[in-house]
Amino acid sequence: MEGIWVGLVVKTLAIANQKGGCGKTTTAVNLAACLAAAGDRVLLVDIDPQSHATLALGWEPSELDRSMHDVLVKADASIRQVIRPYEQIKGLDVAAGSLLLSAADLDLNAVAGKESMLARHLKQLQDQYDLCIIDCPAYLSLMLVNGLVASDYLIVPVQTHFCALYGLKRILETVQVLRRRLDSCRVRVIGMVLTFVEEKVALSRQVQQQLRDFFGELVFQNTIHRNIRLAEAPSAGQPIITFDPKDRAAVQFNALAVELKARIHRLVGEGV
Amino acid sequence: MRGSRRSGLHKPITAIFTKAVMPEEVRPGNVTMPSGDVVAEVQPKVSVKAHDRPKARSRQRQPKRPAERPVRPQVQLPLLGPLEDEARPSGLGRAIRAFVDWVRGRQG
Repeated sequence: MEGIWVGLVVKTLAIANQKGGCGKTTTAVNLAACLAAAGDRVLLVDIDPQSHATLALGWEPSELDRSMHDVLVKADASIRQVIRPYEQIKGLDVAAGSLLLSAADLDLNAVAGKESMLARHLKQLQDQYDLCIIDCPAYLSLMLVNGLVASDYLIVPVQTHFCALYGLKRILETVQVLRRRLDSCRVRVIGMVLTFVEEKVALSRQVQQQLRDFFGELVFQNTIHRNIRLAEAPSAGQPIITFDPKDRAAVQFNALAVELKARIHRLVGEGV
Repeated sequence: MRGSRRSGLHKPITAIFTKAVMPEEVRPGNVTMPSGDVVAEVQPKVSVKAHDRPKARSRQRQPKRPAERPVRPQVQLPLLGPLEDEARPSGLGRAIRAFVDWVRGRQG
């Protein structure tokens, strides 16, 4: 995988779905870890007030003195001040989230260009990273809008259950509306990742098959199966590739990272 | 309330996405986006085409109909006339009284 980014400018990738509990944070954390472990410089940006991405990598969000909330709300704050290296994987940095982000909608209410705050901060890091991955909140909010406006690409994790399909529909609608209304929004849907896949369950198989039939190649070939080790890893403050490198989920996330890089590389080659 | 014992999806995905507002890179070639104002497009009404609906089972249960009962001959009771001296009894009392009067009339 090494060298695939050569000649590319930093790309920003939002992970979002307007449904909670469909694997957004798990996808963000583990993709970031796999890409960094493969030699890329990756920044994981946590703008979800739940701050589970921060928590999953071993930090207690309430104990941190600075977070993305400071970056977005305080005029003199820099994103460099909140970036922390994840010691276990070289090349993986984290910009921590905070519960205070839930108040960012009110804090930024009167600020001009409030939907592009994150994009402006990430521009400062152009030469430092190969890829920025943004873990977005599930609900439609200023933080979600900031995440989408700041991104080149969007990955939608889709749980293979019925209600997750409506979350997918909502986020696609949001992307379309933002692109029409905001000139600064140029996010492109790069694909959907199927999560919580259970081959023995009819519903899971049918959702998977029908999504592939409808959306074609946009659905990533590599899927993430329901896996208890994935749920256990955050309690150790680790991504699955360090928590249990031989587990099936680690293999699946590594394969997904390879597929994602190939897809980004192809799109960049096409000038998209 | 009617339940279902059939496992799996009970609504096809095409019914959810066919008329959804989607970015062009997501939209399949055979799906056209509804026109009009963007705000109005955000919540489009979704109609399920006939061929998208879940197909009915070939062996559908027919609701059971109760067997027809033999019709009994109805006994016609005489109407009760107005009471003059007595207090007006209840409906059941009037019916009993009318029945008794009718029996007496047959005997007499």
